[in-house]
Amino acid sequence: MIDPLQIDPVIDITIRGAFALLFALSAIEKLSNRETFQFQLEEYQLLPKQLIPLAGMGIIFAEVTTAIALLIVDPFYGAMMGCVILSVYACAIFINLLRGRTWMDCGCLGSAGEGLSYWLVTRNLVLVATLMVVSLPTLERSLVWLDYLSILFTVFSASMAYVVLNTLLAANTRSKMWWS
Amino acid sequence: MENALIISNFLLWVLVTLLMLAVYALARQIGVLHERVAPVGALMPMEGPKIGEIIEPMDVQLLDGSNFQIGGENNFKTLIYFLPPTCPICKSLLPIVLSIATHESERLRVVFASDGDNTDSHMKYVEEHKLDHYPYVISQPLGMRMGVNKLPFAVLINEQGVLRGRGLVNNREHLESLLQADEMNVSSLQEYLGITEKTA
Repeated sequence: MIDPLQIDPVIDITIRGAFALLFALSAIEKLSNRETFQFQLEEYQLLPKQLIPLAGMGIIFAEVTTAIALLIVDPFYGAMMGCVILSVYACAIFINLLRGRTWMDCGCLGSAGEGLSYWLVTRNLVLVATLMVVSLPTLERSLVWLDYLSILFTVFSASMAYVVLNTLLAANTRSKMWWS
Repeated sequence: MENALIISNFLLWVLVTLLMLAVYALARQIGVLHERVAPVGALMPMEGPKIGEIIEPMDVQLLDGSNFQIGGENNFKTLIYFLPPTCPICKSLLPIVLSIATHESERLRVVFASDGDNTDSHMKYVEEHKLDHYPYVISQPLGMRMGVNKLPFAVLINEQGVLRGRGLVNNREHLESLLQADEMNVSSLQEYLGITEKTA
């Protein structure tokens, strides 16, 4: 009988793969625009100015480590680190929303200055909940080529869905800014 | 039977992929449409100084540390463009602001304004976008005085130091609406529509 708390390895690998991709791309974007990223961190007004460069490097390092841990080293710790990072982002966005600083750029992957919204906080919380699934025990079964095909296509579709959602969120936030 | 399932699974994945691409294209198109239906004029926030208000001369600091005066009487109009280096839309509007600055150089002076303590980043930004011929002000009080609450934001002050227009600018039309409003002596699009309705 299947233990209801166990997940299929395909689901496990798919979630890990998708999140590793997310963190890796996010780290690459931050690393290639380090100046902009530091400005964005400063805009959050949560850290003393002297700590910004250090915190910036720390975040990039944490994202790279999470991506590697999720894929190869230790998925459980990778998932936990990922959850912490995403929760910290959600808190930072939430604090600035409460302060009314909705016009600032969130510095998220692929954002283009469309501002902050409560949708971003919700999105991060959904991501945290999804990543938590990885911490469940996995069923033992050998994978066949069709499984790998499923993993590949699901990671691609999930990434596309993420991009689509962000595009719609950006349009929504921007039009709200115009018409408010 | 097994082969049939494998083939159908594969075909379904191909279809899902194609659909994802189609949805992405549609989502982008929605973004473009949103941009098209944006207000035709610069959007003026309710709070902050009123149009027609005299802006008292205000001393602010330029990037090189020298003093600069905003407001008061001048020989030309002043267009202040607020652009923190972190704001990507502000950056994308920059060529339009620069082209207005060149075309209207006889009667209009463009001033760039920003805030934040990191002078190095501002220097780099100025160098990168070739803004060194223009005054680049770093002042938080200026933004607060002008009631800047959304970015990119532009303010137009005329020769007598009177505030002629201000608001959120997202494209060329918005920026030009500020100059247009000044030329036609109306403070906003709403006022203009009101006038044309009465005269019609």
